[in-house]
Amino acid sequence: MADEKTLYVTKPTRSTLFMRTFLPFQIWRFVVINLKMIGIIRRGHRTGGRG
Amino acid sequence: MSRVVVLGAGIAGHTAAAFARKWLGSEHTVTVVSPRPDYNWVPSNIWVGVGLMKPAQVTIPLAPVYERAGIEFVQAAAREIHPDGDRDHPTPYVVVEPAGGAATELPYDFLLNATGPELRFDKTEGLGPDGGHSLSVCLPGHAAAAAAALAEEVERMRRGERRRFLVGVGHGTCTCEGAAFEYIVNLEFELRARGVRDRAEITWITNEYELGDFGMGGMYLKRAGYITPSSIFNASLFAERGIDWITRAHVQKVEPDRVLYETLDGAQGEQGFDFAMLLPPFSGVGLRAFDRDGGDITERLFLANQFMRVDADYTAKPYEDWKASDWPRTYQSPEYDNIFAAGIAFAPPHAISRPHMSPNGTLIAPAPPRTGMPSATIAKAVARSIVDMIGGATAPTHTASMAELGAACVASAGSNPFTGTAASMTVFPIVPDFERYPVYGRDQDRTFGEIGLAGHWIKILLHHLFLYKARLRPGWRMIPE
Repeated sequence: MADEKTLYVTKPTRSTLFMRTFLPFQIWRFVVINLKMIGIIRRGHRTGGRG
Repeated sequence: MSRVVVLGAGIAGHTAAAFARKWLGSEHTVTVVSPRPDYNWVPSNIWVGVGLMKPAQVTIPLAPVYERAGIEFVQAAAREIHPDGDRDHPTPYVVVEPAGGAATELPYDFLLNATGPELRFDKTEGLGPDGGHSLSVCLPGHAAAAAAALAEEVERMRRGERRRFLVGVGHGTCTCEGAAFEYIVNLEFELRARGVRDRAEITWITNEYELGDFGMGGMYLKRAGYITPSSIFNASLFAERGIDWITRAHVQKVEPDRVLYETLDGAQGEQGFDFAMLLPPFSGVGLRAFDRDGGDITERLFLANQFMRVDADYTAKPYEDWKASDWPRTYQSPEYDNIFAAGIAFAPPHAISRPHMSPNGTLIAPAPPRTGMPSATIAKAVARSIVDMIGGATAPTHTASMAELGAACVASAGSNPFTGTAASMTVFPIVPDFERYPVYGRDQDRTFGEIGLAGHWIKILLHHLFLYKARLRPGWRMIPE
């Protein structure tokens, strides 16, 4: 990959990479992400309702 | 007694047929017409494409599901719509053609066109798995062929060879960049898992103006005290995984070992490959429409790209004048009250991403995605409107504008229960509304994204939940779209 290109790209730190697969944190994120998605679905059902 | 005919058994058609059947009394009929015998949970095709699943794990036979649900199933391709009937009888009908059989007429009272896309590999010379030089994951069979080719490449690398992988889109007007994105990061993950990553050179080629556009104008995410464009996150992931990228590209030709492409600045480029997975552009499936006298009225029902006209504002106007209100709400044909379209089959009023043209006049801009969650939500709203109109309503009763709906999306970035990751994203609304949400076009509190193992678990959960739902097993209606 061209070094020039990667010089100007944001890259994750070691702790960021670690947290992406750190089980206790990811179990928490599983709950949070699901709640966020349910919120979007509920809102979609409200706005996508009766015309 | 009313006859509801649904053309197509993809996410939109299958969802609409299932809900219509559930909501209608037994005196009414629901018929699904599809050329293929199976339902395909398309989002999981990428896992077939890297050899982690078999086609049978992402498909279900439709006939037994429909028999149990009381839905008639006609395995045939829809060819013609006769919305006024013909000289002999005024009943509207569609002409359907089974493989190897004679065309037959299927009368309807309400018609839903959910035929999905025609895969237009022919738009780029040499593109596609059938007679071309590139692979695809659009269909389970395509994905299985990609997995077999990948296995061969892995064997070569195990013998010490270096191999070049090219993944992305094969035309300047493609959509579904998100699916190609999932494929490239899964491919990279699998090459690492199989111990050959150091012998692979992986390149992304896309028609997006910036990485992370995905045909929806990208996203802006609130993270760490900044509002950051999705291009930053996409580039970061590629840099982390050692994936190179070519943006703003229109692939002109695919040769056995290289693609030739044009970029927005008018420059010509080429990229060599040993393995290329390039998605095709889409069009409608080419349905024709005829009036009572047999006159061709296709142009009244469809745009030139063969997608169906619905209640959108199709007036040609510059990007600056695009509005959220241009997008359809009821998906009813403006010509016929009893015809609707849902999913990829409806014609969007314009793109979502800002369009760009090269100095040579080549349009290089992603087409708008309308798959997955919005596709099913639209289909359910249309089914409700049809059921209500059968019950006496004079107009569609339910709406599902993509400019008013949010979407949740999980893009796999590697499949493993402990080391896999996926990007989980929500956007609200799907089509930016710059009048309601100035600057970014979306509600920043409801537009979010993050990558992690939790996303992978959700992706696996969705795979099983949606296949369960597609089988119309007990409680299927409890699973949201």
